[in-house]
Amino acid sequence: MVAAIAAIAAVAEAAPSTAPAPAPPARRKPPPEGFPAEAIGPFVEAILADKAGNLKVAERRYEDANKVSDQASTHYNIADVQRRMEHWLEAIKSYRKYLELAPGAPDRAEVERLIAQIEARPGTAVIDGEEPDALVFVDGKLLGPSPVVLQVSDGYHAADRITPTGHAHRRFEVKPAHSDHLKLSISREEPGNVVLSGNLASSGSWRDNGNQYKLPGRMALPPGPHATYLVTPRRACTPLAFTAPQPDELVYVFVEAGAPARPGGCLPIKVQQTKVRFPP
Amino acid sequence: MSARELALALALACALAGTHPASADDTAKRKATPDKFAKAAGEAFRDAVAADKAGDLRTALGLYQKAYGISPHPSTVYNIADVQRRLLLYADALKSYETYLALLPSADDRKDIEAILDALSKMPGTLHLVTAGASDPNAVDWKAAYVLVDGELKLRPGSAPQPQKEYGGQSGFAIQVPAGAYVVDVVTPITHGHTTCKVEVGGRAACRITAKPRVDGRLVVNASERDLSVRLDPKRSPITGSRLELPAGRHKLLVRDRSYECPAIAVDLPPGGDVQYVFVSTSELEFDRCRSLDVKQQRLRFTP
Repeated sequence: MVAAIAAIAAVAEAAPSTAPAPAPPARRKPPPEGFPAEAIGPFVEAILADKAGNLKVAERRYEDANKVSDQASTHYNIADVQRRMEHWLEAIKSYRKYLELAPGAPDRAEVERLIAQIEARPGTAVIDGEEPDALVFVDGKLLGPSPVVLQVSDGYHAADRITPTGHAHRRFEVKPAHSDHLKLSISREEPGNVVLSGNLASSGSWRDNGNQYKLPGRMALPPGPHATYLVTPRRACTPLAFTAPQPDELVYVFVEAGAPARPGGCLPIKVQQTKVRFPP
Repeated sequence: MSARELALALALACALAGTHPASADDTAKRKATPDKFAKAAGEAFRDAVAADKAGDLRTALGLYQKAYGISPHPSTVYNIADVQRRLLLYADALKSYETYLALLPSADDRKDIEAILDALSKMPGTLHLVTAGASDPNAVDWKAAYVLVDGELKLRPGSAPQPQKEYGGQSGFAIQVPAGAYVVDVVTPITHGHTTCKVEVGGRAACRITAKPRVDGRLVVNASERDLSVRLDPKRSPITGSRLELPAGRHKLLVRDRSYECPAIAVDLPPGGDVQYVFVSTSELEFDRCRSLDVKQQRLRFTP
């Protein structure tokens, strides 16, 4: 039996999941006339490694060739390998080095266009962890089972990774063309029927009506409706209201706070809750 | 000498002679004396052509390589590639043809060479699967073994090994595969062994595999590369490359690609003496995430 397991590529802003696209084709440049013989060896090894799909080896061999003779075309090829490995920032740097060494390059406009395209790419985040059977939420939305590969708009986002017995949260910043690996491993078992999360930069825990709340966090709360404040009284304009399920169930409550109407004013909040069901 | 050989020899002679067009300034206009390196390379090149014509390809190769070592020139490395191709040294020929194109990016025959490179890179190699002699307790009992190459079932129990002439007549099996590195697993009712063997384009490689006299278990797990690891528990060591005893029924295997989590693999382990074999590989480029995985599962039946 042959089963193909595609790494999950969940795309933000509610776009559907996609399988990885086929590898883009190589666009190599030959070495210049008069390329020193000592540099030919590593340059050719780079091409062979590239053709065999060993792009990291190819990158190293091109760098070896550059140590012997620093050439614009070799920097171009390094950029091309980095582009295909989706190492966007390195690729930009290498394309720029190519243009610096070959200011009159006939493909200057094309390379500048390519740099601009790469710079405009949305940032990528890989969200995963150690524990099995985890689900990943970003900005309050369920993206699917861990791991998740995410392309998101610039700015701050909130990630939650929830397992049947634990929870990990991270607020992270995404910049264009950047790639981040968010390893959300669960440091200790934290069972409970409610996960509280949100887009707030701060965190806190508080006691209200005899219950202990924590944001972000996972906690066991009495089943039924809850209406509490957000970390401190009057911080949010409206109560933080949600319904806790039975102890053997789990709900994910995400608090989206907006900017206050006036400096020092209360935070307008939107609360959304999602019932969490783990895959069998 | 063929027209091409002659043209190459002439081109080489000119190139190696170090002559330059006369300049328009008023300095002395003497022709440069061919330097000692160009002269020696030219001689080696001529001798190589003669040896090639006489059918002595090994000598021709050595002399072309000598000429190239003295003074690198595209024509010389082209001829090196051509001789290597005729000597069936395909991996070396690949490198030499690529060197030719690197030295002469605007070569008129670039398309022809690229076609040769394409054909050479597809030349299959041969893996000769052999084991230790009967005096070795870890010798594989071929007749009882399943043999899997990169997760593909190649031989079933009952296959009769053949003497491998190229490897001292050791008994085993010859398997044709595209060039590359392969993980070979041997699974018998009572043991498991594995090794990784590499074969070059059009080449031959001995792949010696042994197995401990006894390794129990109904699950065998392996992967195409070290970067892919399989675990039963995230806090325990990987089980990649091993056979282990687990209760029959459904289990979940946790996979990591370098430091990245991958989707888990569900396996159903059989009761009785059968074995479930799982092989994880990827052909995707080295992206910074868990790459797309191919998971091959085989039920190896030993139950009578």
